[in-house]
Amino acid sequence: MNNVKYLMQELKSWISEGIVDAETANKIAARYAHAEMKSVAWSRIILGSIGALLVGLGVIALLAANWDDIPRAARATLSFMPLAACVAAYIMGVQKGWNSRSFFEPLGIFWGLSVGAGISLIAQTYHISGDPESFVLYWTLLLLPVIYATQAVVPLVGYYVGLLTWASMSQFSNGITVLYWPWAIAAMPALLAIRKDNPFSIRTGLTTWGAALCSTAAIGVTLEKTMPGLWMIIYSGAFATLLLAGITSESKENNIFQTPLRTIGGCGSAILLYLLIFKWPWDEIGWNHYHADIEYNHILAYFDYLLACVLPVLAAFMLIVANRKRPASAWKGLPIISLWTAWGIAPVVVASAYIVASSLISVFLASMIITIYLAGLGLCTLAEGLFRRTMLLVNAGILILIAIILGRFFCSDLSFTAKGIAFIVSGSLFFLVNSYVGRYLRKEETT
Amino acid sequence: MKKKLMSIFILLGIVAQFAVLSAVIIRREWTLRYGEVCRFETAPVDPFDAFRGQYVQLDYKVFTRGIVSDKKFNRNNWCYLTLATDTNGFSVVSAITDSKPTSGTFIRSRVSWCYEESIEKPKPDNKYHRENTGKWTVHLELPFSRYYMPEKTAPKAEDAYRHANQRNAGKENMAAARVRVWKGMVVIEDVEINGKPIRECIKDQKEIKP
Repeated sequence: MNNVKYLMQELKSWISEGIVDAETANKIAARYAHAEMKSVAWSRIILGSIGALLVGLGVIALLAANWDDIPRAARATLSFMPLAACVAAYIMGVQKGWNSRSFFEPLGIFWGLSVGAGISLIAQTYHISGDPESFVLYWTLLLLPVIYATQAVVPLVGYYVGLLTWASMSQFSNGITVLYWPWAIAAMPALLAIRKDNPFSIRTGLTTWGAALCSTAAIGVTLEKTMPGLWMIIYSGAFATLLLAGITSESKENNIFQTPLRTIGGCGSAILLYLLIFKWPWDEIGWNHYHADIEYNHILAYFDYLLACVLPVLAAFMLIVANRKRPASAWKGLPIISLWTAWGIAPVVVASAYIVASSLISVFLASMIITIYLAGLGLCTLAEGLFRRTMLLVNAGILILIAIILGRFFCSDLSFTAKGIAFIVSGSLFFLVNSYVGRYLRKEETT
Repeated sequence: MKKKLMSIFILLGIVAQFAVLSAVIIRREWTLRYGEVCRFETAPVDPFDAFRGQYVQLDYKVFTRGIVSDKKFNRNNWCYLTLATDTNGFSVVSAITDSKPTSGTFIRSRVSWCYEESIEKPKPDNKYHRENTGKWTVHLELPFSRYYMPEKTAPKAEDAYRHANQRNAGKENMAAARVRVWKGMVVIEDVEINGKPIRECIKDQKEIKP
């Protein structure tokens, strides 16, 4: 039973018990009637989607069986049938005003699979040797109308996964992988439309998570990497932008699933900065180690330079927007700047360390700059968590600090006994602080 | 207005779905109807790669060692192969160019890799040195390397094709792909063993001599 149904049932007992009068109950019922109409029967969607998936895969398997007895022209016509059936179902649905997700979600899956089935059968009929790379690209791009027509989760996430798969395969064959980005942008209006419909729905969460994760991975795949180490600035810019976009657009009252931008941006930044506290990422980077080999496309390398400039600037812009949207009065842990500002300046810090390492000043100094910065971030996050009474931030702060200590300790020449003791002490401290703060917060809540 | 624009966009997308698939079909149908018939002698393939799913992986003797050219071709670029016929009636490559030929039968193919040939030459110091010849060997991603078969007959076809392509098979067991070529487009019409379609051969296995 969903929340609105439960509320409607409760209203009846509230009236009978005299908690609310009939007029107030009617007002409450009217207030939530709209939400009830828009509520989604997820069991129907999931079952319908599984059904569509099975039927779609069955159609592909039947067609892949290669019916030799059917004439070529008939097979060519047959390859359009599943696609035509989906278009007919869509037109009928639109004409009859069916706007339920339990209609569009399974239709989206079946339609997406029909496109793949059509391409496969035509390839079989005409013995097309097309490589898997172009097969994936054709299928993915032909999903665009499906995405806009149905706004279904699976085709939209499948579109981004398909693009990432194509880019990964294309990278091996020296293809133009930067095309990922215009094609990824082509599906953005559909993504925004889903978000506009209901920013906190499961659909919005799934599609945003899918698109954000694929695009984060695609940065690494589409870089030409002629300039060693430039990925550090690019990734720090991308994660800072995602984090700050999450700060401005996502509500902090929501859970991790409902805040994909903030979660990916925050976790990504933390992991990236943690990697950079070690010395190995800073070895042999910068102009002095430029890859001039023929294997690298030096024109496409300009895309790397563009990203290295644009993403930190975008992060700076988002920082201004975030600080305007969330005034200084909302700051808790830090007296001078907000926590998101401390995390948002990561591209500037990484770029400074990059200059230090690439200009051969010192690799050690570069790793130390990041270590000090990350340790500062850990302390700030811990302080913010304590001021806000948020266990998630407290734990994140402690985890960052312990990880730095252990990481540095592990790289030292100390014996395994000393390292083992350090691990045990750190783990025990983590549990102790966690349990103490948790107990303190619960006690405060009850008083 | 916004809804109308979206409807037009979706409609155009649906038309594009049908148009792309139709274009793939029409170009191949045209090739099969109006294309010139060419026969390529097939070559042995690695038995482990011979079958991936329900298709026969075809390799061609004329392309196995690459095509020799006077100029370098970059990886992934398109090239054009002008075809001629040898004394046995099989198609061979007479020229490779990076621009579309104005006449003759030609195939459009993508360059897989290209390297400059070199030979060992003795020098006055009595040591051998490798010297470039100025000739380039071009290997291609052929657009007609798969022949799809029904799942029941595929294993028999695999046996027949592999047997005909054994290195000691002799002249009596020769496999060839009959293709249609039209304006650079190639479509396989059939695979033949001793001049007979492979489907007929697997019906009568005696055709393939042990």
